[in-house]
Amino acid sequence: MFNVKGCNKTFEPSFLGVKDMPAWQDSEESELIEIAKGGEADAFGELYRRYAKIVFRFIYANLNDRFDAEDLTEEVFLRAWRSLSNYRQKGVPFLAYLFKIARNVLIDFYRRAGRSGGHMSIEDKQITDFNPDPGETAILNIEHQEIRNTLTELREDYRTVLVLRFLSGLSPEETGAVMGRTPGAVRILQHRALSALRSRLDI
Amino acid sequence: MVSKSAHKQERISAILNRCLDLIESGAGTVESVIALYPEFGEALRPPLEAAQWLFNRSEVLNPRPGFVKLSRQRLVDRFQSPGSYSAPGSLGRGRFTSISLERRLVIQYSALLTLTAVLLFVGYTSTAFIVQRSIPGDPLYQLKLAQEDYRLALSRDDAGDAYLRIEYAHQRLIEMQKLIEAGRQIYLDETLEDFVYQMNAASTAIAGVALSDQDKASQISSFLTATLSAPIRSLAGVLDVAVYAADPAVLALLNAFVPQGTQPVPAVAWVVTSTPSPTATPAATLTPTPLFSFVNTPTVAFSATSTSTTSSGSAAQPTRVPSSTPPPTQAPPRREPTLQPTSTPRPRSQPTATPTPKASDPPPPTAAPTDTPAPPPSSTPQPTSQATSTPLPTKEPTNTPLPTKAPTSTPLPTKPPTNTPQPQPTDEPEPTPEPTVRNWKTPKPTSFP
Repeated sequence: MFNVKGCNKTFEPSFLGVKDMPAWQDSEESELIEIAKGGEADAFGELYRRYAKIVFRFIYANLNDRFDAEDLTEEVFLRAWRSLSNYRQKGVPFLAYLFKIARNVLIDFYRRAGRSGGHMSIEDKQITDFNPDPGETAILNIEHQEIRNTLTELREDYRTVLVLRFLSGLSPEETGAVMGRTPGAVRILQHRALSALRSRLDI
Repeated sequence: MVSKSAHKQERISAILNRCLDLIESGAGTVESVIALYPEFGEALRPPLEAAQWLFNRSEVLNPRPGFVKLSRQRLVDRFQSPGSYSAPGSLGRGRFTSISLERRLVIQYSALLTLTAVLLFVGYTSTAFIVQRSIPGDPLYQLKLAQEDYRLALSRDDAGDAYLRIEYAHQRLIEMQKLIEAGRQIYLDETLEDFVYQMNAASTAIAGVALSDQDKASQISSFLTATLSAPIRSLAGVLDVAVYAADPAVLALLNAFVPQGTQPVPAVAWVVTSTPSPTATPAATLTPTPLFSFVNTPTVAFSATSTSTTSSGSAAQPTRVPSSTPPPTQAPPRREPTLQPTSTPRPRSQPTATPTPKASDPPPPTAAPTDTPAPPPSSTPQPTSQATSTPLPTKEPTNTPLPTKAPTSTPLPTKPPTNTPQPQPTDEPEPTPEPTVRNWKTPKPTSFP
């Protein structure tokens, strides 16, 4: 039996090479962060499980390629792990912290793409489209491109608030933390963004 | 007006947010929530329809099934692998923050002092090194000479002066060697002059030491021999010229303090001779060609060949040691070659006064050799500057066999001197200019007594 600093849970010691996996999914976010700060990678893995999908949606809404979005999602969590010692829980929420990193990762990606021309080769597109179910993949890609094309017509802050609020599922408070706005300002902004989006939809 | 409109906008936004929460949670649809706020129906419908459009397509943006699980495991493995990604608490950036501010300042201050000291030391040593290796003509050479004068000023007795003078003479020899290697012969004259000056000054200092301490003077003389023999031999090897006599006064003075049984002081001397132009001397090919020469200017040559003085150094008289291999072109035709001085390289203790032709009064070119009294074997050139002008230039016939490098091999003239063929106009070499007698031995005010 041992205690992990910053965590109230008690874990069984490793025995005969079999490591007892603690029930991370029952832990609070603050507990996981403190344990991960102590170097426990599994605790950070639980944080990844909880937020990877949300981060991926945000990134994929800003990219054309799914695999790029997957790579960048991992990159976001790698950076978060390396800078976790600088994170203070009394500051921004952890999810907002992740999205700030995600925005920086996207900016870096755009810069690299800009230096390399910013366009994917035909071969890259063909590889991207390769899938055992090409029909389903094609539909998904069409819908994805429809979202991308529609959002691209909007202002950057409109696009961001819509993606965070309706595609990633963040609350107005979390969205405000990511965007540096108050929850009231986020509500007004999303109202205007939705109105602008509606004017561009053929429904 | 504006505030009322803004207030209405904010209220509609708040109602919209409540409607969105209902739709997102599945508790209502667009129509059902609009029915809750009929007065805002027109304002709520467009954004609610847009939000519904986004909700319906959010699944499109989901990652592939299994991606999160596999990616999570991949990340955890990378975090746990040593060396790949350090633990969050052991980042390199935070390493220095654990040091207190005071200690950090001390470290920085010490590092700055150390760096400054290193730079000063390197600058001083490198400059001193460059100055010490400078040769005449270099920008820093005058600084080297000034440094020598400064060290001399700090010397407190004759012994210290003698050692310094010997060191400086040694420096001049090295500089001459470097000048030859660098092809900067134009500085050889002044360097050699300074070498002579330093040697004379050393002799003066040694004489001063001998007045009070004979052993000390002898020790310094031995040091002089040991210090200068090697560079003189090296330089003589480079020059490859004839051997000349040493300044007899200097030589006698130095050897006077050499202990019995030790190597005598080498004969270091310089004879100012005229070197005819090679084109003017057809027999120049037979002449040992020095590696450098001054056209129409005296060639200064010396040798490190140790020339023994009299058996007992203390009894040595200042005599000029005859050259064992005088430059053939400078030797006048001799009627009695067997009496050439090379046959008796050792000087006599009692030189006889022999009229020596002066440089200012050269014989006419047509003068027969018989008209020039050849010096007897016992005749030793006087230790005056006139001796340097002894090899007077003569218009020698081109077909006259010239003496080779070794005077003993000089062929004897088979015909009477009066039958010496006159040089043809075409073969007649140009009259060698009058040798410029350089008073090398003229010491500076501190010359030996």
